[in-house]
Amino acid sequence: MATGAARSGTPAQPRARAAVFGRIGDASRIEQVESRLIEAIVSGVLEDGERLPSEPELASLLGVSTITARHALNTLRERGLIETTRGRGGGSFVRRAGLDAEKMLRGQLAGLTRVDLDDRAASYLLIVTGCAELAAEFVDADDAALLREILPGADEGAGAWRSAEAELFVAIGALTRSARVTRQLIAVESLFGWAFRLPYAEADYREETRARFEELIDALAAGDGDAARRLMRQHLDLAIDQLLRLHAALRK
Amino acid sequence: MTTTGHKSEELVACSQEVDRFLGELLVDVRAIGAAARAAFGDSAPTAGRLTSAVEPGVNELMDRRDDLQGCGFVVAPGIFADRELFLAWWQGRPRAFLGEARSVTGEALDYTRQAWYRAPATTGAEQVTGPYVDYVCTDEYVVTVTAPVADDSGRLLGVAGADLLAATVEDWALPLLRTVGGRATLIGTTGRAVVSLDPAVRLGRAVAQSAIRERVVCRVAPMTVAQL
Repeated sequence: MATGAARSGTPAQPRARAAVFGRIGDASRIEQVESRLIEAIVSGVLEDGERLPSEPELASLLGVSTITARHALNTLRERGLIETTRGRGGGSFVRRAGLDAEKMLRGQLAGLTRVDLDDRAASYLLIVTGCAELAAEFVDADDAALLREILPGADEGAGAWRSAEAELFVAIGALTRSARVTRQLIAVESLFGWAFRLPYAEADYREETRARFEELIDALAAGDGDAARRLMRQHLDLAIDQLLRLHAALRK
Repeated sequence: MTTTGHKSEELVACSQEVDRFLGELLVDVRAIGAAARAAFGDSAPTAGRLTSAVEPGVNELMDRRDDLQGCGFVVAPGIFADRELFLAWWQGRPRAFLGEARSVTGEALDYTRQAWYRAPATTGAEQVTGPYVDYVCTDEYVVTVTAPVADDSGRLLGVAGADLLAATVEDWALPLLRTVGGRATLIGTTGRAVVSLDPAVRLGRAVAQSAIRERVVCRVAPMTVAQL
């Protein structure tokens, strides 16, 4: 706090400060609240039947106006993702029952700009490949056995693969032996890991991924951080490639 | 004791302190296990009955020991009719109740793969695991002490346990290692450095056998106090 720049009133980092203190439009705020809640429901962070905070609580938690929170909840209600009841014990409850996961995920993807997608991809790529490289220094035979067990069976479908990949990546993050890195990875996975798991709808992709993950686990067990990073990068490059094609097709 | 000849008294005393600490913690963990076992009487057990059986002991323990990150009882698959997995587990300052562990995609997370569950479940022996980053419950870097719990017929009911933050273990062990001096190092059950006076030792990595000049293996768990 006692820096010269702060005392003289001349911000030391004007760009960074503009990013922090720049105006956020109302429309953008509603979208942000909507997309946070939708992604949380789609990804399962918010569970079926879970009661959401009330409008004023939600507004205060997210630091937005009550009207913004109300608009966002209205959209969720229209899309059938929440149900609101009045009176004692009432509130807004998460409804995953009518949720067509594939359709919802594609709908979410279609709503993203290419710029946003690239932004998410860069952050996802960095943390996941970084975890693979670092984890290689610590993986022993028991750890590798646990990672192999997470891989789905030969005839498992997209759903099983998506949850397996999420658990595999979090397990690899945990093997860095840093709780902070693991929490960052979990945050990234929870917020937009779903997008990078969309390509699991294709059987070819699942087969190619199995081979690569087996190789990746071998590299981790061998303590080869460079190979682990390269294999993880190859996997994510393919996922992002497929994702961008799907994104382009959905936005036509 | 794995090496012959004279041991430094300090090293032996240090290992005895580790044994005392783990021994006391295991007494508490076994008590949680006994409370859980009592909940599985004649009638079909339920998660609610298990939770209320375990909770008073957990509260008493967490009141008495402020060094625990969490504790409780984790059910073996097939014990409850209506669910495979259940954690009667409380964690953190607010003693948040866990119940179910979920992955980032919302599915139930299978804890039976984790070493702290699997080792006592398959060997029947009490276990000290870690430190490791626990992504099932706490998302913290922890050491977990677990004890298997079986019914009269020997069927596994689950695992009772308690978590300590690795940082808590470091705070506890450093003064002990200083009584030994030199490059005294506490090595975990899988041969990895847990706490060390030697800045060149990287925590979490295996300590080379050739680097160990003198060692005493603890009795309660195969942790090692070593001079490098």
